[in-house]
Amino acid sequence: MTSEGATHGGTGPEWQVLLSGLRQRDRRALSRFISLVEARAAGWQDAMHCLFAETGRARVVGVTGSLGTGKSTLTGRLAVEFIERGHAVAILAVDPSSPFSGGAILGDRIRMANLAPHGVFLRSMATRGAHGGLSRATRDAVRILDAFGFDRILIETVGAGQDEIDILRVADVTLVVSMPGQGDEVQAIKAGIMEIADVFVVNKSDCAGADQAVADIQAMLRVTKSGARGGAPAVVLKSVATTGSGVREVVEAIQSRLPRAEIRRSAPNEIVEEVVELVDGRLHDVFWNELGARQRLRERVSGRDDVDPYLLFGEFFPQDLVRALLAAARERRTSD
Amino acid sequence: MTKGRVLLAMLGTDQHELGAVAIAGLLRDHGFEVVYLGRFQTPKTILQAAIDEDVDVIGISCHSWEFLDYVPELIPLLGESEVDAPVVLGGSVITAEDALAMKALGIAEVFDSDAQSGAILDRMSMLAAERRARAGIG
Repeated sequence: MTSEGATHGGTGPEWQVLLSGLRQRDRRALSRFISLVEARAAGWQDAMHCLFAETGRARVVGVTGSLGTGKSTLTGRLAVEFIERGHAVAILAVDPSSPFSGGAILGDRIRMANLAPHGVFLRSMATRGAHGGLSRATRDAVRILDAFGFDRILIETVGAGQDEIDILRVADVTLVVSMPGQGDEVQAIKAGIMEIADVFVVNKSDCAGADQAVADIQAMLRVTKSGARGGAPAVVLKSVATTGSGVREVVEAIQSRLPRAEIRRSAPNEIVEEVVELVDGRLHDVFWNELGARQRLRERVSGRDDVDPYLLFGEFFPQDLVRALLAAARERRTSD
Repeated sequence: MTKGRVLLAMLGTDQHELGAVAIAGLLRDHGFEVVYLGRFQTPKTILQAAIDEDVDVIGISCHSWEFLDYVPELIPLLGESEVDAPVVLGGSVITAEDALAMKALGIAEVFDSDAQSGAILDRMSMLAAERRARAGIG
């Protein structure tokens, strides 16, 4: 299968095999399904369409926060706590791709070694050029896991500071994890990431300064609007993920904030944003990769130190194509 | 697009992690996604990770003799679960004789301590590309 976006109507035999594997709860089919959708393999939207009707039952918990606060360890602990409460749990752990090589080191499994006996599905994903703290296929992967039958899906974002707030649009409840001694950093993140939290967790709270960190966040909550979704106000809790202390309270705070409806559907404005992203992503791939524009651009600048990006923009922007599209759209409107 | 997803692990109580970390960096810098498992893995934990992560190549760093015990257990375990990712070994303790025995078991490649990074990258790229083509991942 080559990477392709056009809809062919129905899905090919490879997808049919995977779809039926998914319905029989075959983990290898699940895993391969995610790989193919992540690679945008031919027919992927049709395949997603086939399982979309089976989604909406899972509840999605986002775990975000700065590097080194213990997100992975805490996520592993939350997973076990959910398992013990009878849930089927999957984890998506997102790590950054190198902007230089496109490669990535996905190291979250090291911190979640305790999950092995519990049957948790754990998948690492690289951002592959996306900048919002998730990869562009993270939401698709959530839906695949949802259709498979996991009812609690935990997403650990890349180490996030201010702007990596895509998680807000994918998760039902968002945790922002910090740790003592981050006073200045908490100030710095108040604009972006502080506003998306439903639950603040001060992890490593056995270290000095934990109560101060809690007080700092509570002070900030008094001046900003609390409760990311206008629901229950945000709460600040303490945990020590390495020992499990405080994890039960965090899970209870999550559970009490989850949507009650049996089937959860995206709001219309969320669908608008998602479709815009899907179309953007496809146009980007067609133009830069499949039509070879990126390669031509590379060749154009190779070995030169006097290139003017504004001139190249004029040269590479497909003016004729865009003009033709606009003219066709105008014509359609007048003939309607 | 990534060149492939590579799982890196060390078996049993093997503590010598520098080689695995160096290879992880090398692969990352050449466009691979490395699912890093690190130390204290067993055939079962490697199997579970290989399934969930749908990796293209499984790399095992061997700096203690334990691979001689674990690899003969790992290969049939992967086969029973229809995991088709090739397994490669790398490390200082693998003798020429071991390498032959391991390849007879189904190990796709053995890199000894003289292996050059260029050769490692070429071989890993080829193994990953073959496996991705088999799996239909673009």
